[in-house]
Amino acid sequence: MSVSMALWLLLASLAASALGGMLGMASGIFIVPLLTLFGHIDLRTAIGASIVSVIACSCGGAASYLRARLTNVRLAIVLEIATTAGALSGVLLSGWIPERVLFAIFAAVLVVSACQMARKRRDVASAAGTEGGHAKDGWLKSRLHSTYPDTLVGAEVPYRIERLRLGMALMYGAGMISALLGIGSGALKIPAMDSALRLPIKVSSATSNFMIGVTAAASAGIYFARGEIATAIAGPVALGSVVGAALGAKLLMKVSSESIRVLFVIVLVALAIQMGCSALGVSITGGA
Amino acid sequence: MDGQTGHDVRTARMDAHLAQLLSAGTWLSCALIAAGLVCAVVADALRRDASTAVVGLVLVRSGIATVIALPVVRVAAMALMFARNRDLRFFAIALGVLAIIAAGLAIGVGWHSHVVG
Repeated sequence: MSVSMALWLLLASLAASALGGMLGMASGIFIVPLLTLFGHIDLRTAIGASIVSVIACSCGGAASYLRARLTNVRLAIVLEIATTAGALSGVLLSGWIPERVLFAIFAAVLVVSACQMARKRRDVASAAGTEGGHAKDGWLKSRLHSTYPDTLVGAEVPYRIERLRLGMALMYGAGMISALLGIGSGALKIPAMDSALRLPIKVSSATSNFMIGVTAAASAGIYFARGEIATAIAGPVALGSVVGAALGAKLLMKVSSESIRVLFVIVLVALAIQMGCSALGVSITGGA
Repeated sequence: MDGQTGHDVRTARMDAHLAQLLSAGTWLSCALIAAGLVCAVVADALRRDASTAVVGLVLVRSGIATVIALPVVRVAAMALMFARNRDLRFFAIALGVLAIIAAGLAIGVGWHSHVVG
C-alpha cells in the first residue's frame, strides 16, 4: 500500500464527499469520475471502491435521520426487495457490459443528475396526504402510510404512499444502476420517491439514504467475495468519504445550497462530457 | 394493531435501535480502516516493515468487510424486531431481502468461478 497514494485517495474522496454532502448527494457520483479521470484508476476498480464508500456514507448518515424519525423503515424494507433484486441483476450484467458502455451509462446518469439539480424538487406529498380512504388500500399499503415530525409547524404531518408498484419498478432500475456504476443511484431514486410514491421530500431523502446501504451491500458483497475490491484503494476512499460526508452535512447548515447549486450543475455536466469522451475513447485528461 | 397512521412507540424504538447499530458499525469500520492506514504509514517509515504492512492490510480489509456487512446485519436486526413485535408479514419481507442478498452472493460468486475457472 503506497502511503502517498493512500493519502491522495483519502483527501480526494474527503473533498468529493464533502462537496456532495453539501447538496445532500451521495459521493459515488463524484468519486468514480475522480478516480478514473484524475487518478487514472481502472473503471471497475473505481466502481468497487466507490460502492464501499457509498455504503459507509449511507450507514453514517442514516443514524441521524432515524433519530429525527424521518425514515419510513417499513417502506424501506419493502422497496429493498426491488433494489436488491436490481443490484443482483446489475452484478450479473456487469461482466458482460464493455467498459466504454459503462462510461456512456455513467455519463447519462450524470446528465440526469445535473437536470434534477437544476430544477428544484417540489413537495407533492401534502396534496396527496388526505385524499382517498384506507379501504381501497391492501394490507401492505395501509401499513406503509405514516407521519413525520415537521419542526417548522411543530406537529406530526401525515402522508400516504401512492403508486407502490411503479415505485418498486423504478427502484429495481435504481438497484441495477447502483451495482453497475458503484453509485447510490439518487438520480433514479429521487423521481421514484417524489413522483411515484409521492413522499414528502424529508421522508424521501431519509428513506432513500437508509436503503442505499443495503442496495449497495447486495452488489459489494459479491464484488468483495470475488476479490474485485482493491483493499488499498477502497479503504482510504471509504474513510475519506465518511469524514467528508459528515463535514459536508455541517457545511450544509452554514452555506446556502442555492448559491452552489449552479456550480454543481456545471461540474456534473463537465464530468458527463469527460465520461462521454472516455466512452468514445477520447482522452481529455491524459488518462482513462 | 399498530402502524396504521404513524410512528408508534414500537416503531420509534426500532428507529432508535437501528440508529445505534448503524452508528456503532460505522465507527467500528472507520476505526479499523484508520488503524490499518496508520500501520501502512508506520511500515513505510520503518522502511517497508513487512509484518506491520500485512497487519495494516488485514485491518483495512476487516474494516471494508465490516462496512459491507453492516447493512445486512441491519436487515437481520429488523427481521428480529419485526418477529418480536409479532409483525409476521414484515418479518417475512425482511427475510425475503436477506434471501435475495444470499442468493445473489451464491449466484454471483458461483457464476464468476464458473466463467473464470
